[in-house]
Amino acid sequence: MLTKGTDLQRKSAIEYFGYKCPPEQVSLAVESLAALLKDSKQEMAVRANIAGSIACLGEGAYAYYPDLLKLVLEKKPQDALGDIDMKLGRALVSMCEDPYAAGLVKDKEFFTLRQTS
Amino acid sequence: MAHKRAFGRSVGVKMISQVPLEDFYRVADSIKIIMDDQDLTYTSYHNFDPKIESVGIYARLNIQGGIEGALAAFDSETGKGGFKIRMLMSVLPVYGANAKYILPKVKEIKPGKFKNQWDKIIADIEKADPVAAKKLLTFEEAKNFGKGN
Repeated sequence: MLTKGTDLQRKSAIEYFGYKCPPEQVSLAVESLAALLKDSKQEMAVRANIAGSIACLGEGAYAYYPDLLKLVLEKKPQDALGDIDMKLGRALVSMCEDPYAAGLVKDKEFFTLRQTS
Repeated sequence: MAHKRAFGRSVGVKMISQVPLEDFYRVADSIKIIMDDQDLTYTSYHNFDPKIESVGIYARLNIQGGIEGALAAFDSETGKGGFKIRMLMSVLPVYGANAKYILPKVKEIKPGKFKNQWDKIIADIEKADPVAAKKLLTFEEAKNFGKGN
């Protein structure tokens, strides 16, 4: 259901693996979710939903932190109000409160890129 | 941090709230825009989160202007008083003795239900040793600190 079905079915399936989903169940799906997260053919709204679900894993999802950052930097012409960026930002903050201490800030140019693009 | 809604800005500033001084220059201008309320094109229906986070960064990195930034919120007609008081209470203890100069202005504020915490914070600042206080950095000094490293 993560890859097939109506938008609502896919959204529901993605969100099932989010808030309060037992980590052992999320672990089973995390690679499929991550593949969709990185798939540029997927709609940005879908990828942002996946980011929110993956972020609930906390430390277990640190490997995907750079992927979420890259999504923030991608152009989103269909997102005039910035809702997707807001979702991605919330996912990043809920995944890790202090990315500096966690060693997740590897490409510091990301911060500058966002300001100038 | 340039998001057009307050919540978007909040999460932007939260992401970099633990920025070390050597990397401050990468985000300094964006934080200053929020601190000085230079961009009024965003919408906010509820809170001071972006400003609270920015003030916290100033305080943690010992940069001048954090207390003034928090005090400036009291000049605004909008925003809940409780958030303003809590924002100021979050930064005053971090500045410690360096906050002494601004105590007369701080004492003019009526803290309401926060009076006990408020009085303790002020008493602690009055007792703090100014000699032991770390020298405050200007915004420009902080911004230039990490450049070229």
